[in-house]
Amino acid sequence: MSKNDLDERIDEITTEEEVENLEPKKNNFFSVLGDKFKGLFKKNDQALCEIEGIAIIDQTSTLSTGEKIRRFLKSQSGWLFVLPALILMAVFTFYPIINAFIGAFKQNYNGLTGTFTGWGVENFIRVLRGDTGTGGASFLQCLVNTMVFTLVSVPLSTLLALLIAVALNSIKPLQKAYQTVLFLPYLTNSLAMGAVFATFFTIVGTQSNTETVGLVNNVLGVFGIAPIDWMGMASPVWELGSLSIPWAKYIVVIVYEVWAGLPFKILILFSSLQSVNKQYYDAAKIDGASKSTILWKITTPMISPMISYLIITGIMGGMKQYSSIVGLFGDQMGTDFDMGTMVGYIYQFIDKGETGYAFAGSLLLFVIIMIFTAINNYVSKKRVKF
Amino acid sequence: MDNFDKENTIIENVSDEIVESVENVENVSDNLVSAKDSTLDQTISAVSSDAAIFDRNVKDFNVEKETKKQKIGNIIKNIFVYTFLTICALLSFLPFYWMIISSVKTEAEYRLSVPTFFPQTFQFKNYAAVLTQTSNSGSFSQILINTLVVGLFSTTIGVIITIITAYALARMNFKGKNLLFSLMLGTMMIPGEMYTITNYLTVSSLHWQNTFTVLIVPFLVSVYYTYLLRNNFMQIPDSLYKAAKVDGLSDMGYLIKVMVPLTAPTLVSITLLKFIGTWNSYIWPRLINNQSWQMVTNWVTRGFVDRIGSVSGAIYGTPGYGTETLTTLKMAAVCMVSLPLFILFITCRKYIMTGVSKSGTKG
Repeated sequence: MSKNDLDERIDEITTEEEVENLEPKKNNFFSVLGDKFKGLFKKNDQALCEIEGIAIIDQTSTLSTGEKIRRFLKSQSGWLFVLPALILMAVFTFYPIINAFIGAFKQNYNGLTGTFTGWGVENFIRVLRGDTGTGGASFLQCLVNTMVFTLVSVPLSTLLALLIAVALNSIKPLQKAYQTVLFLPYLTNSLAMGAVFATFFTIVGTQSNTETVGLVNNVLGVFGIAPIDWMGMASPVWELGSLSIPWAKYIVVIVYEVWAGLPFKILILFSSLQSVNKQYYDAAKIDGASKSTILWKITTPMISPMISYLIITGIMGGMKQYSSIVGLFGDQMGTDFDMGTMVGYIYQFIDKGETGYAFAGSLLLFVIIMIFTAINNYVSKKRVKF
Repeated sequence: MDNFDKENTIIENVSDEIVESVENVENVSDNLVSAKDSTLDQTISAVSSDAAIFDRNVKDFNVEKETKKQKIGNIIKNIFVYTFLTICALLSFLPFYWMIISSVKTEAEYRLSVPTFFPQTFQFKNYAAVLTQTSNSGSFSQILINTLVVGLFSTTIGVIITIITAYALARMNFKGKNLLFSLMLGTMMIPGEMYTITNYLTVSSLHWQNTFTVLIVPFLVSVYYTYLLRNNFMQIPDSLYKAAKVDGLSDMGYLIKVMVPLTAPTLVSITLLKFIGTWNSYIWPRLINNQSWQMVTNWVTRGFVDRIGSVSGAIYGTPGYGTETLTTLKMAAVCMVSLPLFILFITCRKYIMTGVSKSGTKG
C-alpha cells in the first residue's frame, strides 16, 4: 500500500463522516418560511452590524434631539427603497386578501355595485351544496376533476421524469442533444400547446367525404380499436350518483399534463442526480449490487428530498390549473363545464357578477391548498434522511 | 481619478481578506494533518485486511469470462437506454412537429382519414390569412403591439422594483424589515385567484378597463423574484459593503456599481422569465379588457374560420368551410405565438435553466 492510496482512503473516511453529519437541505420554500416566522420572535443582533447603526449607538448621548431624529430617519431610509413595492402590494395583494375573507360572508354580494343583503355563511353552504342558482359548474364536480387530474398526472410524470433523468445520467454520447430535446417543451404557452393536443384527439366534422378521426384514434385503429370521441359531446361518461366522470376527457387532460410537467421535473431531477456523490455508486458496485438495486436503494433515497419537493409543488400547481383546460376544451371548459376546475369555478362567478360565491370558492381553494401545505410540512419532517 | 482610488481601496480590502482566509486555510490543514496521523494506524490495519480478502477473491475470478459477460450486459443496457430516451424525445417533440406541419397543410389534406406526416403541398397562405384576418375586433398586429408594450414596461419597471426591494431587504436595516419580509413571503401561500376577484373590482372602480395600465400595474411586484434576488444579494460578502461605505459610496451607488453587476446572471433570468410571463398571460386580460386590448395568448383561443366576406381571409372560396374552425389556421396562429418562446429558449437556454432550477416555479 503506497502512501497515496492511504491518503485517498483517509479522504474517503472524512468525506463520509461529513456526509453523515449533513443536515437535510432546506430547499423547501415552506420550511424557510417557517424559520422566518420563528425568527420574528427573536432579537436579531446581526441586523445591527450596519455602520450607521453603530455610529448612532456610540454618539446618542451627546447628540441633540434634532440630530437624533435626523439620524434615526436616515437609518430608516430602507423604507424608501421598499415603498413602491409596499404600496403596490398593499393595494393589489394585502387588501384583496383581507377583502376576500370579508366578502365571502356577505350574502348576495355584488362587488361592482357593493350591495349585499346580510352576513352569514350562506355563500359557503350554497357553493358546497351546489345550489347557487346560476347554473354552470358544480363545486363537487370541479373538485373531483381537479383532484383526479392532479393526483394521477403528478405522480405519473414524476416517476417518468425519474426514469428519464436516470437514463439521461447514465449515458455519455449525445447526452446534451437528448437533454435539449427533452427540455424543449418547458417554455411553452399552455393555451397554444393545449390546442395542439386537442388536434391529436379531436374528430373533425364531415366536410364533403373527407374527415379525420385524429392521430390518437389513427394509432388505436392499427390495433383494431374503434375511434373514441375523446373530446366532443359523445365522449364516454361514467355516472356516479350526481357526479359524471368523463373518463375519456380525463385521459386527454392527463396525457397533456404529463407531457407539460415532464421537462421541469427532468431538469430538477437530472441536476440533483449529477450532484450525488459518485463514491456511493463505487461502493455499491464493489459490493455487487445490481442496477435496479442501485436505482431504488441508493439513487432514489439520495434524491428523495427533491422528489417530494416536486410532488408537493406539482400538486399545489395542479390544484390551480385552468389555462391548460381552456386550451384543450375551450372557454366553456368542455360540455357545460363538465371539465371545470377549482379556478375555473371561481372565474365563472366573476364573469356572472356573483362576487360572494367567487370569494367563498376562493377561500375553499385556499383551505384545500393549506391542507396540502400542512401535509407537506408533516412529510418533510419525516422525510427519508440520507 | 477619484474612482480609481476607490477601486484601489476596494481591491486592497479584498486582498487583505484573501490573506486572512489563506491563513485560515493553513490552520485548517494543520489540524487535518494531525487528525490524519491519529487515524493512520487504524486505517493501515483495515486496508491490509481488505487487501487480503481482495487477493483471495481475485484467485477464484475468471477474468475473461467476466469481462465478456459485462460487455454484452453493457451493450444490452445501452440499447435499452437509448431506445427509451429516443422514444421519449420523439414523443416530447411530436406536438411541435405536428403543429408546424399542420400549419402549412391545406385544410383538405389535414382532414385526410390517413394523416400525412409530411405536407403534400405547402400552403403558406395560411399564415397570411391568419395575420390579416381581423376576427371580431383587434387585428394580430394590434394584439402583438399590446403584448410588446405591456411586456416591455412591466418587465422593466418590475425588475427595477424587484432590485431595490431585494436590496433593502438584504442589506439595509430598518425597523419592521423582518415583519415586512415575512408578510411578503406569507402571501406566496395564498392562491392568486383570491386577489384576482378584488383586483377586478378595484380596477373597475378606478375605470382602468381597456388600458395598458391595467395590464401592467397589478403585476409589477413579484414576491418570488424579490426573494430569489435577496438571497443572491445576501451571498455577496459584507466586507465589500463596508469597503464601499468607507469609500463614501451611497447605498444607491453601491447597489448600481457593485451588486447589480455581481448578480447579473440572476437578473437576466428574472427579466426573461418576467417577459415570458407577460407573453403567456391569459386570464387577467380576458377578464378585464375587451378584444382589442388583449394579448397574444387570448388571440390564439379565438375561432379561426375562413371568412368568405373578408377578401384576404378567404382561402378556399365558396362554399368553403363555413363557420367551422380551420385547424390549419389555428395551428399557424399557435406556431406564431410559440416561435418567440422557441427562439428565447434556444438563445438563452443557460439563463432560463439556471433561473428555473433556482426558483423552482414556472413563469
